[in-house]
Amino acid sequence: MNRPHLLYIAYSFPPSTASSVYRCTAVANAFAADGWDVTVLTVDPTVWSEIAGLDEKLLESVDPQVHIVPVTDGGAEDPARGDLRTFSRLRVAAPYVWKELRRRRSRRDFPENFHGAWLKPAGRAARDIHADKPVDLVMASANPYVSFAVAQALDGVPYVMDYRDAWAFNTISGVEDFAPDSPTGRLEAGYLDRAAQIWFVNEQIRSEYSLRYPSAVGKMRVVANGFDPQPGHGPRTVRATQRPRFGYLGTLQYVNMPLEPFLEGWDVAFGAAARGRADGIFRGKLSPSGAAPAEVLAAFGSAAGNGLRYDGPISKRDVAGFYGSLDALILLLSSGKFVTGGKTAEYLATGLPIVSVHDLGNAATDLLRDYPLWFPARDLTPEGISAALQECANALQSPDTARWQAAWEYGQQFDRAAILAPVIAELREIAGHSKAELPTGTGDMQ
Amino acid sequence: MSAPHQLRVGILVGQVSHPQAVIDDLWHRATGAAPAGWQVQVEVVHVGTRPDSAQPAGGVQGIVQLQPPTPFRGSARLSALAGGQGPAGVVGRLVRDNLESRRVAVTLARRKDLVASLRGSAVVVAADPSADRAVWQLRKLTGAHLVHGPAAMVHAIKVLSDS
Repeated sequence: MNRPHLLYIAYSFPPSTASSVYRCTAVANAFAADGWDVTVLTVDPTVWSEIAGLDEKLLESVDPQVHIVPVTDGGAEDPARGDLRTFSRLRVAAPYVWKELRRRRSRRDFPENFHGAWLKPAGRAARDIHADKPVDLVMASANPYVSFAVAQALDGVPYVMDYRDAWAFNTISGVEDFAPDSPTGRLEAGYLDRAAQIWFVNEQIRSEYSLRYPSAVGKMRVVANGFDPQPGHGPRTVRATQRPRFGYLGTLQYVNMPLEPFLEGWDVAFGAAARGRADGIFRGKLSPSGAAPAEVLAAFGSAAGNGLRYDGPISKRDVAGFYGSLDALILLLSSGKFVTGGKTAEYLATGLPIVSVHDLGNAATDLLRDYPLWFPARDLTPEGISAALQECANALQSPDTARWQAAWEYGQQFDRAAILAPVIAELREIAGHSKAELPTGTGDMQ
Repeated sequence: MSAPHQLRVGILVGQVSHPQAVIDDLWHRATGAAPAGWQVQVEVVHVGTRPDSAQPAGGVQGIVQLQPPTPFRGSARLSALAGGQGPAGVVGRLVRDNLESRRVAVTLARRKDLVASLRGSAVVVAADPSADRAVWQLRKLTGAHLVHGPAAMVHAIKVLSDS
């Protein structure tokens, strides 16, 4: 098969700024580069513009050969929409009641709050695409997990499930959302058994899934997150500085991230009473929706005197310029042994010193442990965070060029293209074969 | 040379913990979303007590402060109920939020001049849920974009600039 046809089901795709779009873009591009015809089935970008904003420049990073088919969200994002003209009297007077009714209605076709509403329009679009040009392989990216249900719409076509998170349990708290023998667990087990391949972002999540669904273990792969070189990516000249510029780039999950201890730790290290001075520049979204909570805005406002500031979102295409303006990076992550963080690999690829402000039991620690310029906070107290910041600032006063060079070289191993190449090569063997021709359960697909 | 576009944005702020931070954020986003050459005029109405002494951002024309009616006597008990679990907590939050949004809406409606001014805006933004009802009630009085929150506001400005 010269040019197999991939149908890629990705709820979010550029110009959306949802955190998943970087992996989805890279996967679509990697298939196109491998000679596949790629059709991406995604939500209409107008929806993202209404609820979270767009990054129009991000479209430039999508291979022009990738064909994008936008479809309605089916009302899945209605609770996030802010057009008050469309609000009913019930929604204005009793928003909780309105939301609960919508939640229940959305679960009629698929057991996922609100996103279940995407199944019908996306399934219909998938069948139309297949009728227009037969699909050889389906790849479904989650979350939302309704993508896995959409993948079932094409009878006989093999599919791959890409878990960026975990459906059955919370990757931050570790708490189980449903048991394997529950109705949703049995649904998930069926999807896994029929899948041609199953991807996870780290070994911790894959391992937990292998315990829950042992019959599918042979098909499970770890396809770690990597970095996608953006314009301007390259090594930079190391410079000594007495006033370092620290930076944070990403979506601030302020509910789960240790932001408050960080702000206190920064104050201890570089506040008015401290001897050292530094700048801290935060860029990205202050929440997944882009709406900035009043408390977080106020926190940055009051920290301005200490050199900390928030400079707003930045296009993914411009991140190399931002990294190039910094001396070191601040890695704030949610706690949890299943958490890697999409930005960890990107941080490593910069070759800059990284101050880790997260639970060291996170999966991210596996990537960082051998990084030559890693400055982890020993604990999430203001003192622990302050010590890590100061240690990094001290290293920046007289940087060891060889150490910086080693850090740069270490980071380049996380290039996403290199991570994806072997698994895509494996999928060429699967594409075009019916599900019946592929063994189930054991995962021996060759 | 054509005259620069004028974009009037009305912001209604209800009961939020840090009104100045919220206003500044909306102002920055509104001015950032407008195309180059557009003049953005922002009018802010805040229904509530201003707890801080912060000054409005450079482009904000001024903040009109309105004092809402005094909460009714049982409001403390209602707040306690709203913080509870289960159906009683849901009912408590429903009643509390309704009363709150009605207070904001009634306070604004009493100021006909401010209502007229907001009606003249191209975009009217409810900065928080307690302001939603007051902005929603403008729907038959104006053709302006009536939105909740910064993302919807930026989207509305984008729609205007694309049209």
